[in-house]
Amino acid sequence: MSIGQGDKTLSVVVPVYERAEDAAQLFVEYYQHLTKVVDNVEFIYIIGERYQSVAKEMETLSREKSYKLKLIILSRDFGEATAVKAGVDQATGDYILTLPPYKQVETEELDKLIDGIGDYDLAIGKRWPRLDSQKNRFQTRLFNSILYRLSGQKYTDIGCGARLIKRDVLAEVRMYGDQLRFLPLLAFQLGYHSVEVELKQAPEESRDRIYRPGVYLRRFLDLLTIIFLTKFNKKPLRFFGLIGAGSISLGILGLIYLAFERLVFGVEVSDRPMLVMFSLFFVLGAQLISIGLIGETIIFTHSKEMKEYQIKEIINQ
Amino acid sequence: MTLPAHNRPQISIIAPLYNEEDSVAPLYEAIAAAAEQLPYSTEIIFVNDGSRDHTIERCRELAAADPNLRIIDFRKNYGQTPAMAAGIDNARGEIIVTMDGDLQNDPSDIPMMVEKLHQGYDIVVGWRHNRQDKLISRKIPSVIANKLIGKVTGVPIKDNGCSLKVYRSSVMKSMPFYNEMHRFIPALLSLAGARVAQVKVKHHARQFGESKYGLSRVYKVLLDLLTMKTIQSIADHPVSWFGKLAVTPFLISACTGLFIVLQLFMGEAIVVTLSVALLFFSLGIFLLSLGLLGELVYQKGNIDVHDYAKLTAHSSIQHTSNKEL
Repeated sequence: MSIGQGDKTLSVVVPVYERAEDAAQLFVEYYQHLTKVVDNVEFIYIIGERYQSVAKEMETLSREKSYKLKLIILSRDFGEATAVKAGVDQATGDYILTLPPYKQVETEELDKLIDGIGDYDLAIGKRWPRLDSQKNRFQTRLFNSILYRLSGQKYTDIGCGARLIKRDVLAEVRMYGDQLRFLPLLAFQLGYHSVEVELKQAPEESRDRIYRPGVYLRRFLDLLTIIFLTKFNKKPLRFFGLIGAGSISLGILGLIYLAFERLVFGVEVSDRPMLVMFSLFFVLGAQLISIGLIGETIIFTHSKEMKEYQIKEIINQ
Repeated sequence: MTLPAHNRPQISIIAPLYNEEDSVAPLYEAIAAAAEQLPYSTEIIFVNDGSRDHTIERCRELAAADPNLRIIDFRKNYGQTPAMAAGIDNARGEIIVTMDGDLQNDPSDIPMMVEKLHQGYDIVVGWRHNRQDKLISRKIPSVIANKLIGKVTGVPIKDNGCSLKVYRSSVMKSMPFYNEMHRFIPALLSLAGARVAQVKVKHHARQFGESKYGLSRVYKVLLDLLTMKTIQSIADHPVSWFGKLAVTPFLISACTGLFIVLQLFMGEAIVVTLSVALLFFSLGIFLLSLGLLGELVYQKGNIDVHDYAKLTAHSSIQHTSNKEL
C-alpha cells in the first residue's frame, strides 16, 4: 500500500467551521504540496454558513485555476462531523485526509501521516514538538487524560485536525455534531485500529486559546456522550444502574440509621432535615435506575436492527 | 447466499474461540467425532473473537482440510454473546448447537441432546451437574445466581451459564440476542413460549489457558437480571410493570400523609414530613410516566412477542407430523 505512487487515491476533506479566516490561502498551500507528493488527489471543502466569505474566495480561486476542488456549501452549521460526512459522500479516494481549515501543523509534515499509516486504518496527527504555550498544552493534556480515564484508550492529542483515514472507516462510523475528534474511539468500537503520528506544530497555531466557559462545558458533555455511546451503548442499565444503585444504597443506609436512632435513642425523626436528604438520595437512585430500564427497553425493542460485531473474514463461506 | 436445501447441513455446531490456540485442534477432533455419531449432516462454525494468539492460524489449517468447518474471524474482541450471535446469524442448519471453545463442554453429549430436542422441545440446555471448577469463586456464586435467575424469570434452569445448548434454528434466529444475554437464553426463549428441556452433561476441568471470568460478574448478572425481568414484563404490558414499581413510593407517600394529619392535630411542624411525602409522591408519578414512555418505546420498536409465539406453535405442529411419519 502506498498512497504516493498512484495506486491509491486520496481525497482531502476540509470542514470549514472555525478559525477559518485564512482558509483560502491555506488551501493553495495544501494543494501545491499534496499534489506534489500524491499523484491522485482531490480536494473537498465543506463550508459552513458562517464562512460565506471563504466560500466566495474559494469560488474565485477555482475559477482562476483549474484546481481539483469540490466546494460544498452548507446552509447552516451542522457541526464538524456532519460536515466531514457530507464531504466523504462526495469523495472518491481510497483514503480520506481530513485537515483543519487553519494552519495547525506544518504542511510538509503531512507526508509523515501518509508514510505512517502502514496497515493501520487511521493515522491520527499528534502535534509534536509543540510550539504553543503551557496553557494550551495543559488543555490538550487534561482533555486526553480525562478521555483515557473514562474510556481506557490512550491518545496524546486526539483533537489534532490532521487525520488520514481509510474510506471504509468513515463510511461505517456513525458520528454527528462535534464528534469528529472522537473518530478513533468510534472507529475502534467497529474494530478499526489507529496509530498516532508526530507532526510538527505550525508556529501560527501557538497563540493562547482560552475559550468561553460554554465551550468547555460542551466539550465535557461531548466527552460524556461519547463514553456513554461507546461503552454503554447496548447496556444503559450498567451506566444508570451503577450511579442509581450508589444513590439508592446511600439513601437506604441513611434511612436505616435514622430509624435506628429513633428506635434506640428515641431521637425524633419528623423534624430532621436528614430525613429529607436521605429520601432524596433514595428517590434519585430509583429514578436513575428506572431511566436505565427504559434505556434497556429501547435497546431490546431495536435489537434486531443492530449488529454487535464486525466480521473481518469468513473462511469456507 | 443460499444453498439448495439438499446441500444445506442439518445441524450447525457453533463454538466461540478467544485465545484458544491449544484447544482448537482437540476441540475440532472431538466435535468431528461427535458429528460422526449423528445421523445428520453437520457443519462446524468456529468464531474467532479477536484472539491475540495463533488461534486463527490453527483454524485456517483445519479449515483448509475440511470444507464443513467454517471460520468467522472478528475484527476485534467483542465477547461471548456477539460471537455466538455471529455463529447463529451465519448458521445454515435447522438445528443449532452452541458450546464453549475451551474444551470444558464435551461434544459427545451433542447426539443425546439432539435426540432430546426431537422429543418435542425448542431448546435443550446442558446442566453441568458435576462441575469441574473452583468451588468458592465459580460454583457457589453460580448456584445462587441460578436460583435467583429461576425465581425472577420464572424459568427454573439449574445451570444458565452452560454454553452447551441445542436449539431449533427458526426460533433462535428470530430472538433478540445481544449484550451478555447468553446467560438468559432460556428466559428469553420463554417469551416465545419455547419448550425448554434440561439434560445432564459432562464437564471437564480446564486443560489449557486461564478462565476468563471472575467474581466481578456478580454485579453485571444482577443488573442483567433486572433488565431481563423488565423485558419480560414489558413484553406483557409496560405500564403495569412500572405501575407495580410505583406502588411502594405511593404507599410511603400515603403513610407519611396520614402521619402529617396526626402532626397537624398535635400542632407540630410538618416541613420535613411534608417534603418526604411529596418526594415519594413525585417518584410514583415519575415511574408511572416512564411506564407510558415504555409503552411508546415498545410500540415503536420492532419486537413483537406475539410473533415469537407463532414460531413455537409452528414448530410443534411440524413436530407431531414428524412423529406420525
